[in-house]
Amino acid sequence: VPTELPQRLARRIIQAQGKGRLEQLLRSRRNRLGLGRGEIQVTGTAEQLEQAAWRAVADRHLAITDLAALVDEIEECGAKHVFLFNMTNAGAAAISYTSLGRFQSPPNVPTESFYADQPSARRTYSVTRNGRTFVKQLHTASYWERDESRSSESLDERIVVSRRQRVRAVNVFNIDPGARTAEIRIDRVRNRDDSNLAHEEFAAFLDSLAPGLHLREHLEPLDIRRAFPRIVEARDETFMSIDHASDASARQIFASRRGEGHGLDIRDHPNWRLHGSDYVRDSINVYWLIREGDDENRIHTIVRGVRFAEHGADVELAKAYVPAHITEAELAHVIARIRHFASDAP
Amino acid sequence: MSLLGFDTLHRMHPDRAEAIAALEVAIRRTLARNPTSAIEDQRLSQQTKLGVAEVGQFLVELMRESALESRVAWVCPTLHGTVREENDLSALPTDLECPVCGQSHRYDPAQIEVFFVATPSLLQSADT
Repeated sequence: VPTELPQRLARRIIQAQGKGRLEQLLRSRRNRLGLGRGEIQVTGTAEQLEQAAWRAVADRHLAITDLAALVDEIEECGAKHVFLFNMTNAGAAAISYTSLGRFQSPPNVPTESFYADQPSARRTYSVTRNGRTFVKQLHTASYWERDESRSSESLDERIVVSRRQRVRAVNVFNIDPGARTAEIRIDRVRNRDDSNLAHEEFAAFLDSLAPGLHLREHLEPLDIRRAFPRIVEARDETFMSIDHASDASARQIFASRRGEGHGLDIRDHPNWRLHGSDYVRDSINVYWLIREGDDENRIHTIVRGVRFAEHGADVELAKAYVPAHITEAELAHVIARIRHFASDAP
Repeated sequence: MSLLGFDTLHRMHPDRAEAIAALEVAIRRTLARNPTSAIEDQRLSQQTKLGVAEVGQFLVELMRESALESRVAWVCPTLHGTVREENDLSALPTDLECPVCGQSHRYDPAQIEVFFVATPSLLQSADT
């Protein structure tokens, strides 16, 4: 196996804060193969672990497909703007693996072009996984970033130099025909909740899926605002360090003065009374608590309704911004809970 | 029973007994409301009517008595929640992604707050 691709895959995992998951992968391979500590390194610094991973591939202790599968999960499941939909009757009839089947299947063996740092073209693939149709698109996205080293400020002059940054971006259209649900996951591209960039990326992704997909005809955005008060009430599965809501006479913000992991849930503040139907929110900043035995994992999301103009008509889309690179199971959990709170279910 | 460190304050400043007692009442009330509260001179000064500098001095002395620990917090300029909290200023990065508003912020001293938090020993003395 040429070492360049495994190196790139290992680096991508590390860059996406996936050190723990890479350790887990290497450890499970070492245990399965009954190898000694010297044969596969499973701990160390990020750099050491990156090297250990591609060496494990070179030594044939780890298949490159295992490394690629971890990259896939990291790229597909986190650091995304996740737009949530139900399928309309027309959508259920029109969207299928066949209608989206004009896209090629992903390669069976990882290739340089599939995992390129900056894909030369917009490439779209479709696959069926566990009864779901999954469309994955790779492309090179760009944004402007201030170049601090070349920008300057004096008493009488300000010079701001911005440089175009180009990065690999992965967008996903995930359809569950059985449940008649769909989600569009848009790469956040840069390390912030940039709504303009998300809007541009969303529009470009939709265009590339046409004519198989028509947003207004085939998909119905989740009514996210109805979920907000129910999420706020769900104390046993959420944590909030900030809440901003308004009633007919005042806007109120409650923000914890302590950092994450130190302070109380802001809803425990004696003066917090922002529950019930009198209070409305444009967004909700919430940590979802996922418990496994004694372990508790917190998944941070900012959930909001966002306006999107399509053919002159405005629609409000339901969006969950998920900044961290999380697992498929964690993302599925968060999406399922948001859907639950936006539904009629008790 | 006095809160941890307050007997020492009384010994060190016998002429300020009333001020120290007022500070103790204010800190006790703060911790009763929320044991993880941020404890800082400006707010305690308003509550006790003592000068900010004097309250600050007492808080530093309580830190020396292991009753308080200092913290620095980076506050979101948009929504004013604490973005990140550290024991020391040097642990703060120059840029960070804000979990409060979702944007990215560059280090700005105007957005840094310094405060104290109660140690477990102080909390224990408050319970007894």
